[in-house]
Amino acid sequence: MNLTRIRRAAMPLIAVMALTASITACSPGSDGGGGNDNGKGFGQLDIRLAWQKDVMSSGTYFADQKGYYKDAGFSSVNLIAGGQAAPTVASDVIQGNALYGMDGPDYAAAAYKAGTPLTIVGCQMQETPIAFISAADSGIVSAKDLIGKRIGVQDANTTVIDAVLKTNGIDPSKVTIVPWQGDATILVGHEVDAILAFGVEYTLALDHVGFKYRRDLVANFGLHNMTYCYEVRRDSLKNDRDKIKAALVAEIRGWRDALADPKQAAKYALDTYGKGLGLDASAQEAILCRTSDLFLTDDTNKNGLFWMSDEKIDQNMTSIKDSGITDVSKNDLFDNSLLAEIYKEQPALKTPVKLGCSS
Amino acid sequence: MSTEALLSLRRRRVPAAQLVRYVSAFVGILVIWWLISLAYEQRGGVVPAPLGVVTKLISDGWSFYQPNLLATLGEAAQGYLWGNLIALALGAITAIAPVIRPFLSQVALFAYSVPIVAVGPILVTAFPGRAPMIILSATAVLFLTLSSVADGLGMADRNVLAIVESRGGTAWQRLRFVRAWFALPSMFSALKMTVPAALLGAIFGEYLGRVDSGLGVVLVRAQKELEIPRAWGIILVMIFVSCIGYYLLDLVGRRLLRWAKDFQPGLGLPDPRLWVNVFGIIGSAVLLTGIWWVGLKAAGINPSIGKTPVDVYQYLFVGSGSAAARASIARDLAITLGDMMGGFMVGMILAIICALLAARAGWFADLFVPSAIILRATPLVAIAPLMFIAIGRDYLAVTTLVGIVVFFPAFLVILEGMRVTPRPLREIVEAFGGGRVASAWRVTLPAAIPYVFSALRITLPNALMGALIAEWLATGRGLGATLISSISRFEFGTLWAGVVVATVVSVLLYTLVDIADVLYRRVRHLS
Repeated sequence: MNLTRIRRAAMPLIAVMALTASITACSPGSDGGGGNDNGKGFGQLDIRLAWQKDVMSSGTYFADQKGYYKDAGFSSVNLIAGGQAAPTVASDVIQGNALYGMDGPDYAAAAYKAGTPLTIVGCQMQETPIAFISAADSGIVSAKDLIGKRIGVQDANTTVIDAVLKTNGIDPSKVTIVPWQGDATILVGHEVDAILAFGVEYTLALDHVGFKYRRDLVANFGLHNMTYCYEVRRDSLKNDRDKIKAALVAEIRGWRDALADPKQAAKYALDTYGKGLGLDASAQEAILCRTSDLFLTDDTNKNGLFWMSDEKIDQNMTSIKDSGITDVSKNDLFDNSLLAEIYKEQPALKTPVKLGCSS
Repeated sequence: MSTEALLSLRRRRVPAAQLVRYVSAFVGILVIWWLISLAYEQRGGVVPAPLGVVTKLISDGWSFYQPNLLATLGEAAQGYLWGNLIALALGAITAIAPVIRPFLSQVALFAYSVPIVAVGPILVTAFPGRAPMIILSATAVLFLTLSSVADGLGMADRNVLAIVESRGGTAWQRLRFVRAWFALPSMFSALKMTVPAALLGAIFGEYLGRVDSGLGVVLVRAQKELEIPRAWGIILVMIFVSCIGYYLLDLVGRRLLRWAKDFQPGLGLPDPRLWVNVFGIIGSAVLLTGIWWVGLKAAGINPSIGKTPVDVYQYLFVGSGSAAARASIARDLAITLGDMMGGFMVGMILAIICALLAARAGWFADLFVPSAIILRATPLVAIAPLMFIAIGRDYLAVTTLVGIVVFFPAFLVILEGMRVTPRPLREIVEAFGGGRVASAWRVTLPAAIPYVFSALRITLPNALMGALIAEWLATGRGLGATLISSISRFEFGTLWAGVVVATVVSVLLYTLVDIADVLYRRVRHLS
């Protein structure tokens, strides 16, 4: 064993180690928040988003960019993105990683089983955009047509399909559920007859490749869920009420801006928050515009953004019961009181939003 | 286990010829890909043609890939560094205190057997930023390197050790002057093999959200938006990066270890004393249970998410629901084992057949070995979703994924075993009129059996992991599917119990191979 020769030969090893170390050093670290001064001492605001940083969180981007969170007393904002196999929003809220998260009441209700009460204090979308997107030739036009078909369902939506089948009295064994990871190819390749898909991204993608499809919101099949709701821990509603209320004001202001200017909303997603994601500007704008009717309903035009009407809450409770969760009461799960206070104190926020979409 | 040494055993070659073989293997893969894309053309282009993918790759360009590539490389590099450093340190400890060797390698085995699919979301809940990706990547590395290094350290020549000892050398000096040198070939082989593992850990971690850049993040995005050529481009980049890392370390290893090129790294043998193995398992299980408990408390995980060992025990054995819970887990486990076994058998048998072919037919080895090396350096599981698009989502899909995960490592290890078959023995059989089949049956196969055991050990945990992932992504039944759906149903009791069961089963299977190996050696008087 010749030591000098080995030392000389060790040079490439050292080079590789150095390369590794330099990659390690120049890799982006964890995202830091923006400024740190100003504020009524609420400190950093942690928000768990439903999905990656795309246009569907653009109200939050406006609130951040225009300083609405700062106005509300927060020194900085930390946006926690979701993803393909991300932990549920509820677990981040329960764990205290975020003051609030964007979630559906059905997931909040599921967490009751684990003994951690969560409460919904407002909903961005009055009806979930979750829809059956079926091949045009599959013949699915009503819930009963799902019998004997193959449906692609994402992990997070297993409870939704359970509820749809239950609502319509369909035996779950008569429908084939195919695990699906969110790639629309499964439909294009005719592996399934329909997908149970969240976003309108899919319709854009399908339009793009010229695939003939039909889209039915689950509401058409009798299931009513609000979504992108502000989900907080029941105890923080007591202990951090002012903080949550302040953040909600900033959110309302941000979302009013976003709906009024979807072009800018897409721009924020593209250039600032979702910079590395390779987003497409016109698609992002279209996604917000195609879902805007779920934000702006007669109810919210009259009572203000995020308002949850009694009718919607009742419908939602029925759907939750249909998905098999029966031990949650509606007054525990839904709480409009913060919104009521806000709109009483600042009626200007309640005025109808002028939608900035072309058609 | 230097694959290069393995390639050059047959005849010495000039580097240019070697390059030609790699290039032709690459071209071969391209042609097969192109043919498959033609076959799928009517199905809406779910498998894009190579040209389209490369065009998209170029038009996406550096500005798209740079932040994502750097992010993923950063995670993988940190995971690689930490995983290997810890493994080397632990390996050194086992050399000084050999008593704990079975114990430590069992701990690493347990860590490797934990289904990352299921614990990923919990890791992300507990740790901020990119830490979970780094942890996942480091865990994937740790076991592979530790077991190689521990094997290597145990391989030191007894006579050399005796010399150092007779001159009053301490345990540390024996490690420094003797054992470390004998372990170097195994160590470099591990450093090379862990490159794809580190990358895979990081990419899988990126599926878990939190981060805004990374190859895993954009891969998810591209699939959702039907940007299929982009998705394949991202995968090409993953493969490329992985191969570069693998190749660089191979190069470094060969330069450094020129003096050891005739050195035949032996096999990692289980300790021949069965009780030592049992002690290792029980001890490491106790230790890990302790770490699990303390870790939950230290990280301050909310009790409705983080279940303690007591919670899991109660879930499975106490109370009214426990019988139903046990029955349901047993049902899922039966499905999962069935899913695993099919692919495992297919992968193993094919690996043995192909290794036999490659050992006897030079042209087959020339064509196949480079492709196998490229594909082993590929983070295969990261591309599983795209694979399922092409092959469907039934039993075939599970079998294929498990088979692939098993085949490539098994093939390379077994081939190595067949290459070391003494030629004179074969010639004796042939001289007595035995044909090629006879010599394969009587000489090559028996000589390769220790290597088959080694391959079984390496691939069994992978096979179970492959089955879990395929169930999650493709079939929607079995333990893999239950674990994932329990997360969105907020049933963390089910999740933790399932994780424990999957881990224990994986470790048990591994131990069964160890025991079979020990018994085989006893019967054959090999050790």
